[in-house]
Amino acid sequence: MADEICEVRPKGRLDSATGPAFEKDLLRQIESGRLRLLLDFGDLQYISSAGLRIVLLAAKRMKSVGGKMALCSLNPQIAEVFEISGFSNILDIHPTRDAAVVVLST
Amino acid sequence: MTNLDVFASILAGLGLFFIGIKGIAANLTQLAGRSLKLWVERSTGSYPMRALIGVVAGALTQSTNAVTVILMSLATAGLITLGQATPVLVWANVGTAALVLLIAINIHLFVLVITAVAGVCYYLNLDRSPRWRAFVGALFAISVLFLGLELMRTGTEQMSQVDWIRGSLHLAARWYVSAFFIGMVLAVIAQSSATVTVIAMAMASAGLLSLGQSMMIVFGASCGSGINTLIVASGVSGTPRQLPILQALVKVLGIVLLLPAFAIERIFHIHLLEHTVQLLTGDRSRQVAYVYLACQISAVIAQLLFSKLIPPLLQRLAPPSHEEAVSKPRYLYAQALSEPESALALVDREQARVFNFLPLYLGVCDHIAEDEIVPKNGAVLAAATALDSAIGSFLSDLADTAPSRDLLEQIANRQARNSLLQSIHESLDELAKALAVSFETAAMQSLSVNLSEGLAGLLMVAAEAVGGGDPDDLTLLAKLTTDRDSLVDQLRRRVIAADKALSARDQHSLYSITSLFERVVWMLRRYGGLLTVDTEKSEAAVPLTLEEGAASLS
Repeated sequence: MADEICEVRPKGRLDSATGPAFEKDLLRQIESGRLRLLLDFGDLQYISSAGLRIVLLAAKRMKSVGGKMALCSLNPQIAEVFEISGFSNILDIHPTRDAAVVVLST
Repeated sequence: MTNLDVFASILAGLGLFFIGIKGIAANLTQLAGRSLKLWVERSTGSYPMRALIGVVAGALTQSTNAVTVILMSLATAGLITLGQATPVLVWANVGTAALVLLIAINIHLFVLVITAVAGVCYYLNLDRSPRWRAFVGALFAISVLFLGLELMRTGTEQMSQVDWIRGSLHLAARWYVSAFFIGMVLAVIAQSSATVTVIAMAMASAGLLSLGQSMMIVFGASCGSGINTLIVASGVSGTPRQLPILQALVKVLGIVLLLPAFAIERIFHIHLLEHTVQLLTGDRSRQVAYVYLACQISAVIAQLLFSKLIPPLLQRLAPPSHEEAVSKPRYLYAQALSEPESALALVDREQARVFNFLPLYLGVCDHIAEDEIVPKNGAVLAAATALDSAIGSFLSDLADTAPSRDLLEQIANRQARNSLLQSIHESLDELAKALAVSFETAAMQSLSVNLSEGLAGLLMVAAEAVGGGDPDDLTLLAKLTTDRDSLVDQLRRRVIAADKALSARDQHSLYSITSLFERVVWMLRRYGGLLTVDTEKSEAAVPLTLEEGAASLS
């Protein structure tokens, strides 16, 4: 189970309103022993600084347990937010789900 | 002399008097203000020393309002407490009696000499010398003031011959209550109880007012001066407001102490103030001057008598404002300077606190702890500036304790961080204002939103790294704050490509916000670098070896 890729696909907006529930879900997945986490943003329209914080928190947790995390399918608006914040320098971001799966499977 | 000449003479004298008073204040208040700040900062816990400073300041400025305002600015800057300011404030009232007493003395020849000397100084262009300008200006103002008084005195002496005037004044001042209120109202209008007293002196000297009537006018003027102080300080909030309230309180309490004595003396013919001043001098003008002095000393006595009751009352009437609470250092205190190592740790905590305010410019406050007082919207820069100033002063004081070379380097590091932190705050304030503008095109609106969210996310990570000081977090911060010049270029091209008819205003905004963003990121990187240098030094300079990809979270 640990080697299976856990895919999380948030929808709509990831901000201070929807963030807490998403964070809870993510952390539950990590604590259940998952070592491969894929955040598929294909259905996500908007991310705020609160959403960024949750993504970073998840990445740090995965690293601390020796796991890997990747993101994929960011729309141009979300990709720009990641560029501006510098998060694209430290996170594994891929244009498509398939590309991300290949990297996480290695 | 006709009646018209008499009134014109008095008004002209009054005009010269006011010009002189303002001239003295303008020339000497500046000098007194700078010196007062210096004296108060350097004076020890000595009450007599602070009282002396107050007397000198009051004598030089001839305005308790001016002394109050100066002390309020020191209190706002956190350089003086209420306890330290109190003796300066109450004894400044006594200082203002200097001019009143001087006026009571017939110094006709002295005034003519001063006027001549002032004229010669102007002829020699000494008024153009930065060194002598204030002194020459004050000299001229004093001569104008006394010449005005002489003119007023001549006029009032003539006026005492006019029957209807004598009658009207006697009627108005007949009831002591009306004399009291006349003095109060005039002091509020003239913004000076000393001015009203001098006028009363001239009228008493001319026989237009009895000593009793003059005393009530002076009592009323003292109360009016207290009211005036409150009016002047009406725009101030928080603990600095305690000083003008204190000034008004002691003036009124001083008169409250004197009024019963006046009544007892009148009713029971017991020799008190009125009899005493009559014993001291037969000159009516000087008697009124001594009454004025007694009012100021009475204010000091009132402050001493009620010294335990007044501070809690002031605390209730003028509690610290929200801005004051947020702008006061939370971790720094003077005694900490005796332990330089601990003091530096306190500085780190205070700077981390100020750094934590950065995301507030972009409307983000989720990262702030519940027990932290947060600056309100629009007040973040003011709070940060006040705190940066307090931290800067603390570091200067720490450097003055002659610590070791290592500690001096650490102090210099924190001073550099302090300066940089202030710059980051200023840039973010400017950026936030630029982003608050409503843009005409969808591309600009999208950029504005993305920039706000992206930068807010970066600032929260930076605040965590700065607060914790963890080397891994600092390395992460360095990775997050790499050069953005190519990204900025890309952002600008995207917006311009989306709308070729971008308005001039939006074009200006585009370059402004992207440049500010780039500057903020650079400064964040620099700040992280200063923290990293300090961390490395404190870990005994063991070289940090980063594993490949250690700064990456992928």
